[in-house]
Amino acid sequence: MNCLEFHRRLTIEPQGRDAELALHRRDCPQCAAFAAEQEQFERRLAQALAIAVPPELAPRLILRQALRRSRRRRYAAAAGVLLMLAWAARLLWLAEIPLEQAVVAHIHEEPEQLLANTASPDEDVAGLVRALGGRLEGGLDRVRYAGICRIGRHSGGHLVLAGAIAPVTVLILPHEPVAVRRVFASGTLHGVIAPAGGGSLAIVGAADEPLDELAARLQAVIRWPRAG
Amino acid sequence: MGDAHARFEALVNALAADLYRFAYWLSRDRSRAEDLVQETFLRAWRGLAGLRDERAAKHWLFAILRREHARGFERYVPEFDPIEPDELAAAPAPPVETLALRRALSELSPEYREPLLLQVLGGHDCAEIARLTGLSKGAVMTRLFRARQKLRAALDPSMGSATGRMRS
Repeated sequence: MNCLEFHRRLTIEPQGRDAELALHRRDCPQCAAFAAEQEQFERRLAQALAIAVPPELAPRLILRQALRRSRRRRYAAAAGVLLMLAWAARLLWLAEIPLEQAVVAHIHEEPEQLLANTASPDEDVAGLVRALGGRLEGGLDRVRYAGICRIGRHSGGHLVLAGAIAPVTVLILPHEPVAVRRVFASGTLHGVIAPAGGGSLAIVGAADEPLDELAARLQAVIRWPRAG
Repeated sequence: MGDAHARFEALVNALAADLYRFAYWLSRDRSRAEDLVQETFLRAWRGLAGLRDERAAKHWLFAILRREHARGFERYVPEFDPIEPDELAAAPAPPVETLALRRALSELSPEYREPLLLQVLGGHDCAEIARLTGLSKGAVMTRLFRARQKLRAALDPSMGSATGRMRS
């Protein structure tokens, strides 16, 4: 190793302690002096970099971290409570609102179903009715959507059929009995809720949509087991 | 969980000061430095389970802090005052030479200052600095060499050119 290399290496890595460096330092008084000077410079550099650290930095960092964790836990607990309250409020609201409102609310909750334009095969509709405890006897053409949803407090069937004016929503509600046929209007919609087996059937369409014929057809093809 | 807390506290107690100084010399702002250290330890807490070797903790934390700084703080250029308020209040004041060196460090461009900080404060070797910064090892060595030359020249122009004289 020559002096130039010694200086270069010590300037780049002053902590370098390999045998070659040690040997050259021992044999070359000028480089030994340079190394001593370099060590002194490194001490000054370390001193310059060692700016004062704020008092109690570590305890404050630990405390802030602990507070953040406990805050997150509190938020999670609060969110859980809020969720439970919201769910309870929803159940209470659903228990109190009339069936007509629950039907309209469900239509508004799933507006995208009114835009469905793919024909649902009879087998799908028959399977849906069977899942709700009924039986489909005969075909229902113009069905554009068939699915099982939570409607109000219970599960029910949700069908969308092409109507004369606009799509018509049919909700099969096996757990929502009604004693007599009821008609209702809500905004631009009007509907009919009729007894069906142990539950009911809601048919909702645009204000001028003729619904009675469809209601009769549905009641004829969807059969329910006799009570008892 | 208790074990994780104990590990975390041990890391903070051992490394907060070094990290703070690294953050300070990167950002040259005390409040930002503290924010950077806080953010670094927050991320460290989330990733603590992945730290298998405590000996690697310092390099790991320096890497996190460097990334955090690069992400949000590097465009900020504060006014630099090499004489710190708490040091003015305390006695004795740092030697004039230390203040001159701090001034020189603050005037060093980030490309030279960062490898030097990683080496002196972080204890990284050239290969590690190269990995961390994405530079070649040769480029890191050049920057370390020049950084020290510039600082030595700031203290004593004849010292800074000593190596230069050797090379000519």
